[in-house]
Amino acid sequence: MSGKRLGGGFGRLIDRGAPLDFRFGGTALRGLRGDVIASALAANGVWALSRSFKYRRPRGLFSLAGHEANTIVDIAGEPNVYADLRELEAGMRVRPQNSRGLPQRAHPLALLNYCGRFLPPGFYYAAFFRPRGAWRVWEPLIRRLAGLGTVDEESRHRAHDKVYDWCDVAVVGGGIAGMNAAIAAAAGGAETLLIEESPLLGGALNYARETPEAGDAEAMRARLKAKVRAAKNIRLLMPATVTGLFADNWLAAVAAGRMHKIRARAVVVASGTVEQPAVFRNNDLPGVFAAAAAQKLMRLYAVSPGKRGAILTANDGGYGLALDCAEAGVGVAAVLDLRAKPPPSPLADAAREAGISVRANCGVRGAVGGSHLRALRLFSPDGDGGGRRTLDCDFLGVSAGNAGNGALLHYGGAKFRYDEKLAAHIPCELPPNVYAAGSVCGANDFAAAAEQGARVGELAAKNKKQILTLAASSSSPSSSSVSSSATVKNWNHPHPVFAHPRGKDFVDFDEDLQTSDITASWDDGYRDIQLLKRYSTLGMGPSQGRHSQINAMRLLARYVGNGNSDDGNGSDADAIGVTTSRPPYRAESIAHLAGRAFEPEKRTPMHYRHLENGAEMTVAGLWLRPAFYGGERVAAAAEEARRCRSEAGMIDLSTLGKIEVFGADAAEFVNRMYTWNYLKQAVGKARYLLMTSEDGIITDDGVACRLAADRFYLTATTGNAEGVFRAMLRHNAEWGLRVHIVNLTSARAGVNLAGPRAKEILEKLCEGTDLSAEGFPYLAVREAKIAGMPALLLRVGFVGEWGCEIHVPASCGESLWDALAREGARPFGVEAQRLMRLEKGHIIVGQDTDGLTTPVEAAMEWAVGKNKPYFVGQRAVEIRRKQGAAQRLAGFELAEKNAPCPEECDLVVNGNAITGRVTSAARSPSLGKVVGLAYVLPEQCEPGTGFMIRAGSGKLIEAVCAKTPFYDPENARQK
Amino acid sequence: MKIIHTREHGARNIAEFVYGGVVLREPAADAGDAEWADYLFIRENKAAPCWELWLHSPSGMWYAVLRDAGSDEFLRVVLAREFFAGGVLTDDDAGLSSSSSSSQESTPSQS
Repeated sequence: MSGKRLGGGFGRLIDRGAPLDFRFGGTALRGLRGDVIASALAANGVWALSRSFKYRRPRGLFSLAGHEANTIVDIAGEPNVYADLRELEAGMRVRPQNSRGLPQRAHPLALLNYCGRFLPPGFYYAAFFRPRGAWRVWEPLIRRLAGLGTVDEESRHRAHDKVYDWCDVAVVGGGIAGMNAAIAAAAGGAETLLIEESPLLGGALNYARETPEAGDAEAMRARLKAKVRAAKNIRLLMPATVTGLFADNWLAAVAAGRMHKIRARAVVVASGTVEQPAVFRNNDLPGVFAAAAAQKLMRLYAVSPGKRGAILTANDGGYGLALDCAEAGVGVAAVLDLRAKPPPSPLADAAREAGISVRANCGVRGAVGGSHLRALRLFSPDGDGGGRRTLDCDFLGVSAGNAGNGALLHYGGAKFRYDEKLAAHIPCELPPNVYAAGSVCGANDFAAAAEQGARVGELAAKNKKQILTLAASSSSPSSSSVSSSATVKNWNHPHPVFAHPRGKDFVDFDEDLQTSDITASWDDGYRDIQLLKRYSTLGMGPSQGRHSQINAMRLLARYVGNGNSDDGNGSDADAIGVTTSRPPYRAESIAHLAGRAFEPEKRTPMHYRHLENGAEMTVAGLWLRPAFYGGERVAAAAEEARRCRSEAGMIDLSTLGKIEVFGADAAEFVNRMYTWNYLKQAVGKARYLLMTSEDGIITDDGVACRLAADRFYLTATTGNAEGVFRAMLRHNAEWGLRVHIVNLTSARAGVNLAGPRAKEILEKLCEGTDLSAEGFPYLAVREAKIAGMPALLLRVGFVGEWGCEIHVPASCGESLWDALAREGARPFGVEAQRLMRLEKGHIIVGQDTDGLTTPVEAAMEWAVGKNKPYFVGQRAVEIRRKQGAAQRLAGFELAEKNAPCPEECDLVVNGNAITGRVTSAARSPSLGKVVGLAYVLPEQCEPGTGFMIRAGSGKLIEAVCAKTPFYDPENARQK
Repeated sequence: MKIIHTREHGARNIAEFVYGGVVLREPAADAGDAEWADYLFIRENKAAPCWELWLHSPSGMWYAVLRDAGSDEFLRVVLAREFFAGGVLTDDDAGLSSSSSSSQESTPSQS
């Protein structure tokens, strides 16, 4: 049959005029545009797509809906592709993922097939983890066997952008119920998004039939499709897989290589069912598949499921398939009806009329075949078991029943109950604003699904206002899940599990679990389905138990109920239950989760001046700051520092946090937020700021400028500006002080101008402002005009020269920079600033402090007000002071002038004990020696005390505590 | 992603908010060291309704939120300023954590 397709009314999705060449393993094959990989392979007679996980058995498609691991293949550059979902492309290089060579060819490893009794559940734990370390030896081999796919490290980089979307009603599933729900929701005025996983609307209408006339389903589909297309407020997203439903109806859907994040006021889950396997010996042979898969092969792809098939059924579905086969000219050996007395059915009558042999009370004991189905061994499930009859056939369509595809409902927190009569899980409690309709609720016939869909769609549209109010816990939405007048037909066989004494009766294809594995796990003591899952690995494969959970539950219910186990409770299926279902519904590639990197960055107003000057930019929080201007880092920083100390330098401070606090209680507020005293701070003066958190840890430092009795201008460090602002807002929400707190960080630009020539430059630019030592002394604050721009001048000395911070509106930042440059100020970067502040012994919060540093450890008690009634962290600092610090921050120099410069985080050691660490160290060009800051034992911090530093290389460096500032100890230059 | 509903901003994604911890009563300044240590480091972590602080980051507004830590439901959302000023809490709002005090006063004390 290779290459031959069915004619006429079959092959809805394929374009017969567009052949596509592709390869499977080393073999060149040809498919058609519109094929999925699996259908193209089937058209070429290739049914075995993989080898099974444990026993290396050949496996082929079962559901043709991407539910089991059988169809996972590798296409160039992309592992874990479902061959029954991925559309064929020209030139596609498909490789079976978990088999060496082609899966239909036997491989030595296939011998594992005969080792089943040596591979009981828990085998891996029992066999490979002892002795200790053994797993490391076994793991690579087992991983290779497991067929986990390979990552192609050469594959092309692609951006996976995300899409953010919203709607009133999102309908998941474009089948009968879903289309009706969408139409009704749209008619109710809701903006509706209809999401369908396949490339076709219509769900079962595309391949199944409910009446002897195949055209009835098609007519219904055409009607619904026309209504969906005509509705202005229905948008379609397809093909798209919804992989998760999260809090407050936040949906994740993957479509066309993009992750869509969709917020819906109401969600209608109409996700249909997963057709379930029947369990019998060799039920995994290629050629055994779900009846719907056989119908899809024919209707969508015009591929014949085989030459002469058998159909195992417990409902009308099998007869529908039989009629399809008859229509397509595919031979049907027999319809095997599991029911002892099948109820009257027009479909069954039509099948008999078409001359198809029907056997009631007939089941399959086992399948026969090497790499493909050849024959079936039959028996009578109800009665004496019957004789050992054999039926020759090359495919078997199984229509033993469905399981509601309720994964999304589970994610949302829905509760399900197992209805013994319907032999199905029915949702009995739904999360707020989530609705369910169609066969996922057990509505198996077209009319019931249509009615339920329409009702639920109408409800969902009305619901759209409710979600905007706070969620009420008492709402009971369960009434919306099952429509009253819709009748639900019995579709599922109550127990399609026929254990075979010789095994290979697979409950879980993904994990190669046979019936005996499930019962043996129970007997091993795992008498809770959640524990049993983890021990036996039931439902842990890619399908997450969608084809195995229900049968395992039925199996256990009967096993326990028949007294095979010493404890009798749990005989009822609901008591056994199923395991928790969690997102994602289908594997998501990490690329979809990561998306395109979105890293906003902030640039200062002077950013382009830095670039023009050849700056190497460094990242500080979201900001970009110049690290140094050209050349090599250490040399460049040294030269920039030298110029600043000998002439005049300037650094862009625009990234500093700048917060204005004003109002009647401004001084009280600042006094509570910071450790020092600010109540009596004079207007026009600046003062050092040190902030601690409630637990006394240093969180920030800066400068407070009192601009008026009720007005402060505060600076914060670049990285902490946002945190400081948030903390202020938070505390004042509680305190209720009469202040306004305004974050001016991005609104203001700043430059620190420093050096022996700084004053002269400033005088040129600030005409009419008294900058004399008396008029503008150290720590003075002035509002002035600089080159015509309104500015705030702060006389501070972070780098230890005569210096002035100049703050101007952000729009003036570049002009200020240019004006200063014209007068001869030379830019220096963050590296030079770090060097110069270290020479002055100033700390940098976050570098010289960490998450455990209080002012006691940092030797900064001088900045903690003694007689304050309160500041944030006061009691914690007090307690720490009483306890005494285990370490203290101290300045140090090296005993030997030529010893190597220690690095940050080098250890301070005392014999073998680690007693501290270096936080900053650098070779100072102006001092001609190495200086640094380090945490040392409190008794070691007296100047002149020696201690040892262990460098990263292991080399010991002798250091000596030294008084800070190292440079200009009298602070004469900055005054 | 959850939605938080506020009177001032309507329905906003929780990603716009920053969690600020459970609302605790700060001990009096003269409370013992052990009481302070409890306040700073010990959390009850109750699976029950608890008042918490959440910052709506784009607007800089802090909210007091009564959240059921068991079900992750946001039961009440009010401006932290109004919460602390009193008048928001009723006698039923017993969810406010307290390390020691059994008083029924509705706002945490602050010296």
